[in-house]
Amino acid sequence: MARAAARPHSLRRYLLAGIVIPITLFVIMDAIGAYRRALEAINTAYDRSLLASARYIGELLQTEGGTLKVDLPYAALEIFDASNSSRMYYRINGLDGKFLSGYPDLPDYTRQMPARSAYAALVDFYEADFRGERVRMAALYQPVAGQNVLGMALIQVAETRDVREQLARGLLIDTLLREALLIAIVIVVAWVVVRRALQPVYGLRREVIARSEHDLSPVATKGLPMELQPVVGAINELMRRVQRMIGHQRQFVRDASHQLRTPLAVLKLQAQNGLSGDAEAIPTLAQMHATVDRAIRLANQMLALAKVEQVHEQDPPSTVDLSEVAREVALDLSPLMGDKDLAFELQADSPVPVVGHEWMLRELTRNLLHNAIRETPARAAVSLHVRRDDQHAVLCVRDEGPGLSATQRAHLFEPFRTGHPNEGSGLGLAICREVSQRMGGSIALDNRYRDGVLLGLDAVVRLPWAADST
Amino acid sequence: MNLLLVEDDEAMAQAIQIALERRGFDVTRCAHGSEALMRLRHQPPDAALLDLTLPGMDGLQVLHKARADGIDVPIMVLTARGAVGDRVLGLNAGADDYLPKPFDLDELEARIRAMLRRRGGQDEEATLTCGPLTLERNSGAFYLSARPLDVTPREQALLKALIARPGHAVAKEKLFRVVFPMETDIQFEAIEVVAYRLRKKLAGSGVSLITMRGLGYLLRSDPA
Repeated sequence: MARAAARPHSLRRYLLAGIVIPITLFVIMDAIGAYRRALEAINTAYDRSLLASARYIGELLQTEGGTLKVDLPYAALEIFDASNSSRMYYRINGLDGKFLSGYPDLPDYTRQMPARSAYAALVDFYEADFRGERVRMAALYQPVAGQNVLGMALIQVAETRDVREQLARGLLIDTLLREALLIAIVIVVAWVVVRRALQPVYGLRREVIARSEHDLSPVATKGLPMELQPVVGAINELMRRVQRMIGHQRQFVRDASHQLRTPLAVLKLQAQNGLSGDAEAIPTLAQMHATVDRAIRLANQMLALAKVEQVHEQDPPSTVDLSEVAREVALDLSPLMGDKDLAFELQADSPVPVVGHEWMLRELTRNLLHNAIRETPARAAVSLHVRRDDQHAVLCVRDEGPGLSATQRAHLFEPFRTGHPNEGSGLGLAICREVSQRMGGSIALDNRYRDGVLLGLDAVVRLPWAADST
Repeated sequence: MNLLLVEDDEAMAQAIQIALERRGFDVTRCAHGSEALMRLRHQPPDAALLDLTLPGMDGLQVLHKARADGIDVPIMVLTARGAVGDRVLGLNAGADDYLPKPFDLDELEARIRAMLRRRGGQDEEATLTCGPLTLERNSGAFYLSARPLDVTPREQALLKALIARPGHAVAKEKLFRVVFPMETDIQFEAIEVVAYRLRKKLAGSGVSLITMRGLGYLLRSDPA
């Protein structure tokens, strides 16, 4: 496919070839046909005159005392001869089949008369060689009836082919000239038409090339032919999406810089207080340490989000056991749960394979479990379930925290909308959603109630199954 | 213990040096890749900490060349890049360990000691503690507030595995292998019985054994 893309086919060449080649072929075939028909007509006409000559000679046959006599005036031959440069020969065989008159070396007729003929006579036309030339021959059986005489005389008349060939050649050249002119006209017209038809394409190309990379405004569709409108429409749609994405990214960079500046500002104040002696050194340093940890978490989360967004084909996904990932993340976060004395439960008994990047699934699980641990009061319960349902691999994190308020709900997955401005980075759920979507799945956060009493929050991620590899 | 610290950020290098010298290491600093390679060749330290982004020759190149020259000083890569790809690259290039920046100084020390232990095997601490609970490594005996704790061999194996990482859960499967080595006909749940007895022995002592259902167990000193 890459090869085909490297050598794109030219629309112009395609159109020109598609118009000119069939027309040229048709014209050539037509010329051949016309030439053949013309040649046939010439042959027929000349054959008729040959037959007329033979008949004329036949008329001159006379019976005299039981024998055949011919009295061929020289003028009779001149009639045939005078008109053109071709030479005529004749030969007459008598009733006994023996040479009677004319050119004795003209080859005797030995062929079979055709059963059917276009002429009302016993005549046969054929080609033969005579005196080193190709001749057209008419052989006519002429009935002769007289006193005591009844029979057939054979009259052969031959004519050299020069005239016919000359005529045919002239006809051929004439035909070729006319057809060549026709083809030339077709090529010129097709070229002009194709060029004009493709003009808007070149215009569009010029317009797109001339654009600066900052100009994402729609390409004008006015004056474009109907066929190009959907192309331009698609380009404009892409530009709209790119613009929206750039907008999001600009917003993110603005927000991120602001978010990073906040801990730095805090740090600066804390350091100043410490240096000036307004605050005691050790507690100040402890505060600064906490502030730095906050900045580190933020930077790590931003990196994680960028990494999820920038996964490309060169880093192909593999089959990962979601249960195993959940187990490892739970082990990693166990100190936090131990510190809060949380009653933790993991339900991930059987392997649940999904296709993805292990580190992404780890980020997803870690963020959700981390949120659950943070929201849940000490000695309450947090649980992590991994299972397979009919269509999905399901990861469910349950906490016993305060759940989500309506306002939190409205901006749930937006970056930097943290419910804990002093702790969270505000990116955790954005990462979770990005990972879920990347893997073709979904994420939902819903408050859990029993008898109208809020029990906590359920974070449920559904991912497509991996085709069974076990 | 001689450490070569290859780091071009002055403030970072200084902070690491102060911390590690306080913890008993001799630290030599160097800010250039080529200089680092020369030192590794001519005055090989006991271990080296190597930043990846360096002027002149970058850390990965230093690592490649050093290993190609047959220098087998244990080397830990320190970097702010932190991506999985860099980590694999570093370890493939012959690094012994990889620590992404920013890191905790205690973590750094622990990783350096672990790295040296893996290579040399001498720098092992004699005791492990978690709150009032102490394990004497040589004898394998446990002490609770300096008094010997009476434990069965299975309880001892469980406790040993847990005290190696206090505050951190250890997976049930791993504990099962440690507590019931080579036994195939024992129910998986038997580990719960051992943990239950041990928890009773530790009750009220200031250190607790916490169950993480479906996951494993965790040993933790109770907050004061």
